Amino acid sequence: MQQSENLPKAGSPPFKGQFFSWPKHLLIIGGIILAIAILIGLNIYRINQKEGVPVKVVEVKEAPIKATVYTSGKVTVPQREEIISINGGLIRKVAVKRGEIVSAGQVLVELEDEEQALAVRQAEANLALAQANLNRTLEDTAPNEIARAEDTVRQAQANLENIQQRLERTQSLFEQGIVSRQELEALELEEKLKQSQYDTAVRMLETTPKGVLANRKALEAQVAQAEAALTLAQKRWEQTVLRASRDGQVLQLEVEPSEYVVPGKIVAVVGQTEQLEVKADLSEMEAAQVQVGQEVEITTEAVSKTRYMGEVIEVAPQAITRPTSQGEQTLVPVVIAVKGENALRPGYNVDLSIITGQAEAALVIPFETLIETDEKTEVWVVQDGVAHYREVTTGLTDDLQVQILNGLQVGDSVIINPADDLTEGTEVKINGLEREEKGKNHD
Amino acid sequence: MNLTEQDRVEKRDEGDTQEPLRPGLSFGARMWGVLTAPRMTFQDIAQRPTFWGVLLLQVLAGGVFAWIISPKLQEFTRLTLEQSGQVMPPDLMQMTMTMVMVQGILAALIIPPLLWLLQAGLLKLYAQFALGEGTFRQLFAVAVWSSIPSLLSGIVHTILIQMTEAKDFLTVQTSLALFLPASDTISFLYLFLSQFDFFIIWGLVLLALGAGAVFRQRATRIGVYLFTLWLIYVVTAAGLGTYFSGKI
Repeated sequence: MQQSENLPKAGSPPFKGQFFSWPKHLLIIGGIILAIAILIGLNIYRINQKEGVPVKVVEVKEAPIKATVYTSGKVTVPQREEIISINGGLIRKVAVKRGEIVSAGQVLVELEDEEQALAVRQAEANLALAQANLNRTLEDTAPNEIARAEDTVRQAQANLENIQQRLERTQSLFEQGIVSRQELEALELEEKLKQSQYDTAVRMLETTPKGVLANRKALEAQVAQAEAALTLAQKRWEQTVLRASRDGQVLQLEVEPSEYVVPGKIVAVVGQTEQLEVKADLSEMEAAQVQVGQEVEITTEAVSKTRYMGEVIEVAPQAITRPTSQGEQTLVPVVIAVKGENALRPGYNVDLSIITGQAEAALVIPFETLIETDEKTEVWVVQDGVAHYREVTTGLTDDLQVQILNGLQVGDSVIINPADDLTEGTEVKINGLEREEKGKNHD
Repeated sequence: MNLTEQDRVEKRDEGDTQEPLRPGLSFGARMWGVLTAPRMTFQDIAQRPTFWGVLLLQVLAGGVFAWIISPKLQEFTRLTLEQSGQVMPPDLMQMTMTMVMVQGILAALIIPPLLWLLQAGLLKLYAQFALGEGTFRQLFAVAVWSSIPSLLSGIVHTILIQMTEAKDFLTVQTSLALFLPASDTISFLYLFLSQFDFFIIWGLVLLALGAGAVFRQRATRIGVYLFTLWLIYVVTAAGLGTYFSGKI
C-alpha cells in the first residue's frame, strides 16, 4: 500500500527518513510559530492600544430656531349671539336652517302667540278703563267740590260779620245800661260759634283741592300702570317671533316645529364666522412666555396637512383654577385670532404652536448635549481627541435643540449624552459611524 | 456474502495481523506529526486508533489552563457584576467567585470530550451517507488527535490572559475578531468573526484530513461537510448570542 510505504518502518526513529524530513518540518514549525507569534503580537498591540472613551458628537451649526409654546384650544366665534326664548310655548315655525346666512332682524323662529295676543287686548282694555276714570275725575268732580267749599266759607264769613256787628251794638248798649250782661254774654258766645264755623269752612276750602289732586294722581298712576302692562304684553307678543339681532350665520338651531320650549331655552346661535378665534389655556410657566401680538401656527386633525396662522390677541390678566383628576390646575386663558381664509369651523379642536421667539441663524445644539445644574449649564466639547467642558449660555429652545448664546462656536464638536464620570481632559474616541448632525432635522 | 462494518474491521484487522505488524508512531511522533505531517500521521492513527494518552493530556492541560486563568476570570466576573449595578454581600460574592472557578475548570474538563464525541458522531453520520468505512473508535481518535491545535490555543490564551488586566479578559482573541474594536464584544459581527479562530480552523482541517484517512477518501469532501456544519453552528450561535444580548 502506498500509505504504508510512506509510514516509517518499524523500529525506525520517528524523526528520520522520508516521513519526517527536517527541512520540511522546520518550515512548517516555523510557520506555526510565526502565526502564533503574530497572533500574540496582535493581541498585545490591541490590548495596549490606548483607546479613548467612545462618544457620539454633534457639530455646532447655524440654523433657524423657533421657540414655541404648545397647547390646544377650541375654535370659537367672537361675535356670537344666543337667541333665547323668553316665553314658553309651542314652536309654530322655524324660518331658517342651520348654516344659513341671515341678516339683522330676520325672523328665525316663531312661537304660538294666541295667549300673548289676548294678554295685549286685556292690557289695552285696562288702560282704556284707567284713562276714563282719570278723565271723569278731571272734568266733573273736582270743580263742584271746590265751589261748594267756597260757598260755605262765604256763608260762614257773612254769619260771622253779622254777629260781630250785633256784638258791637250790644256792648255799646250794655255800657249805657240798656241791655243786661246776660244778653251781652249770649252774643259773645254766639260770635265765637260763628268764628269757629268760619274757620272750619276755610279749612275745608283749603283741604278740598289737595284731596282732589291726590285722587287724580292715583288715577293717573293707574293709567300708567295699565300702559306699562300693555307695553309688557305687547313686548311678550313681539317676543313670540325670534329674530337675528345681527348679520351672520346660523351656527346652532336647537328646535323643531311643534316642539315645546321652556322660557330661557337657547333656540339658535347666530355668529359671524368670517372672524374666528381660538380659546386656549396655558400653564403659568407657559403664559409667562406668551404676549399679545405673537404669531401662532394652528393645525387640526380635521383639516390635515394645512397650517393656519393666527395671532395672540388676549392674555387674561388673571389666572383661573380648574378642577382636575389630581386636584386643581391654575391656568391662564388666551385668545388667538385666526388670520386669513381658513377651513376651520366653530367648535373644532386645534393644536396651537405659539411662536414666542425665533432666530434665523442661531448656534444650535441638541438638548442631549446639555448638562444643566441649578447654577449653570455646561457641555462637553471634543478637541484633538480630548474632552473639555464648557459653560454655555442658552437662548431659545424648540423641541429638539437649544440656541447657544455664549460658550460655543460653529463647528465645535459637542458630546451627546456625555457619561456622568467624564472628566476634564479625558481622551475620547469619536465614533464616526455614530456622528450625528441633528441640526439638519430643522433645516 | 454481506459483511457488517464490524466484520469488515475484524477482517481487516485479521489481514493486518497476517502481515508483519510494523510498530506505529510513538506518542511524541504523533503529537509532532499531527502538526507537521498530518496526512501521514492520521493514516497511522486510523490504523491504530489509540487516544487515551492524548485525551488525558488535553483534558488535564485544559483544566490546568482554566485553573491558571481562574483568578483573572473571577476578577473579570466581579467587574462585570459591579458595572451591571449588582451589589452582592461579601459571602455571596465569595461563593460566586468560587463557583466561577469551579465551573471554569469543570467546563475545561468536560466540554472537550463531549465535543470530540459530537465530532465523531457527525463523522459517523457522514459515513452513513458517503459510504465511508470507519469505526467510531477510529473517528473518535481522529477527533481527539485533531484537537492538538486547541492545546496550543490554550497555551497562547493562557499566556495572553496572564499578560492582560482582568477587564480585558474578553479582549484576548486568536480569531478575526482581532480586527474589530476592543470595545466590541457583543455585536453579531464580533460573535461571528470570533468563531473564525486560527486554532479552530486548523483543528477542523486536521479533522477533515483524519476522517479522510479513516474513510480512505479525499479530505476535501469531508472538509466541505464539516465546514458547512460548522458555518451553520457559527451563524446560529452568533445570532442567538446577539439576540440574548439585546443587540437585535
